[in-house]
Amino acid sequence: MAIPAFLGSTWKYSFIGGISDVQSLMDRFATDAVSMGWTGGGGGLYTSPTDGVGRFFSVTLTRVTQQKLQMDVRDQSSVVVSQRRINCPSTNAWAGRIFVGEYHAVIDCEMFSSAPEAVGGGILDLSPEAQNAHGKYVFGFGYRNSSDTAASNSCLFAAMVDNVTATLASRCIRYGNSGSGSNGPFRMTSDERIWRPQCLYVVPTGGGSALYAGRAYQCLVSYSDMQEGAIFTVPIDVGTTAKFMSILGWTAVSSQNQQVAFRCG
Amino acid sequence: MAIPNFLNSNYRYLSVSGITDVQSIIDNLVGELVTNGDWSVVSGGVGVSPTTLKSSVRPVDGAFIQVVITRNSATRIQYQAYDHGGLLINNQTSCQQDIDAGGTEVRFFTGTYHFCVDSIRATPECYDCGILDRSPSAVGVPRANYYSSQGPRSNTGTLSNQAVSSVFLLPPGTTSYLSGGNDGVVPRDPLVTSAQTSVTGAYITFPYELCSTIYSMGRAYQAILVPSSLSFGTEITVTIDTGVTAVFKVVGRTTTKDCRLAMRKP
Repeated sequence: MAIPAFLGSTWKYSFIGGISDVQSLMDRFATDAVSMGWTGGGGGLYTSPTDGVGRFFSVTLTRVTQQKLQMDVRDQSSVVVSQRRINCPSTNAWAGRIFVGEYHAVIDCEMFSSAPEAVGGGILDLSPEAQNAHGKYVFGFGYRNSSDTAASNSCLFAAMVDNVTATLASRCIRYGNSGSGSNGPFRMTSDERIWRPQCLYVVPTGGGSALYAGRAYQCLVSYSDMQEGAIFTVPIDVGTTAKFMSILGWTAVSSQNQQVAFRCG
Repeated sequence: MAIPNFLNSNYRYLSVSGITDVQSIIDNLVGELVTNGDWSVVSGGVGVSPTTLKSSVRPVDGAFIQVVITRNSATRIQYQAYDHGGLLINNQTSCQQDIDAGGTEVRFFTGTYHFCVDSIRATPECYDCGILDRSPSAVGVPRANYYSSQGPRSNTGTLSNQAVSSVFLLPPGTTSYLSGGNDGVVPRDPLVTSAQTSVTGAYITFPYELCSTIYSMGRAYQAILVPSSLSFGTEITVTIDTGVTAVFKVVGRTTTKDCRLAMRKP
């Protein structure tokens, strides 16, 4: 066997506690991203390394206020794919979790006095098709919109460019049963936990079936009973395991029993 | 990479045209599963009805499936599948299947852990059953899992429950096999139809994984889900490992959430 492509990219995880200003999240992201080959363009702009087939994406981090962080995700054509925010409470001492690699960038913040919130984005793994088989490979997500409204933040929602316009929509895979569409099967009869890829789809304007676009790198979904920050060891190849951390900032979906986790070890 | 376990078992394919008596189905199953396979005859055999066939025992957990096949009439056959514990898998007395009096092509997809009989009538009638693959989970913990299609016909001969999702499974914690529309896993796109194609137009295929509520029961051997845009009998070539492809043929189970069932053939 071999490590699947979407789990074989670079990754880095950092935790910072005792935060009272989103600038701390931005500073740590900057350090980690650059260490992963990203380049800083000034003004909070960071561009991922260009891969072997010319793919890249960028994020712009903005300190809206001491408590508000905005992430703009842009695709390879500099189209703004998503513009999402997290709002931290006035009660300080938040905890930040940074997940970044050549194909993904996620900032998750645990507030303690309120629910965790996250912003993020990345490139999709198109395999077994060629990684440059199509150009719809950048996605973004976040807990709040740019008006600070918490909405469309479950792990079924992400933004992509469907035709020419970026749209935040319910575009992530649903591992439901064929009857009701709910009750995602994430347990074996031996009660072991099942991990599945987070796949995204392009949703054509005007209807018709959604088109499979690819898998998010270093991201898995499993049963929605995981606590914020819980770490799980997952076999990813014969004799090889990896650690994934569940986050609730890209919120769980109870009807589907789905929740996301990102690579942390 | 490596070939997934559920695609790494023995498999055979046979198509026989002009069958006018279902005894030929029994006889060909003996030929495919026993003479040319690793099943055994428990009772009956060529020319005999009923005939009971038993799969080889899966070494890791002692699982096997046993099927009693009966000629009800020249044009109607019935199947009763039992798990290693003796429980009736298709727990509705039997599943029945018809052919045409004037002759029907029948396609046999058989292997160490499965068989599928597809009667190519104007409306195809397909019966399949088998042991499920639960790798990398320990296959015998807590017990082996089995499935049987609910159709193509009920024990009274009514054409019904032919959908891909209509299967008998043994829900965890129970002692009787149950059927229902909630027993198929279909990875679905946001529009709650199946994922038919990628952005490039390439077909998307998935293992035929079966579930009972939140529990995955496992994957059927040598079977995949394909887009329902593929008509019955269509053959599709799928990459199953680096540099390795396999051919699957769409069988007569009806559509569930825009998915059809396809079985492996050489």
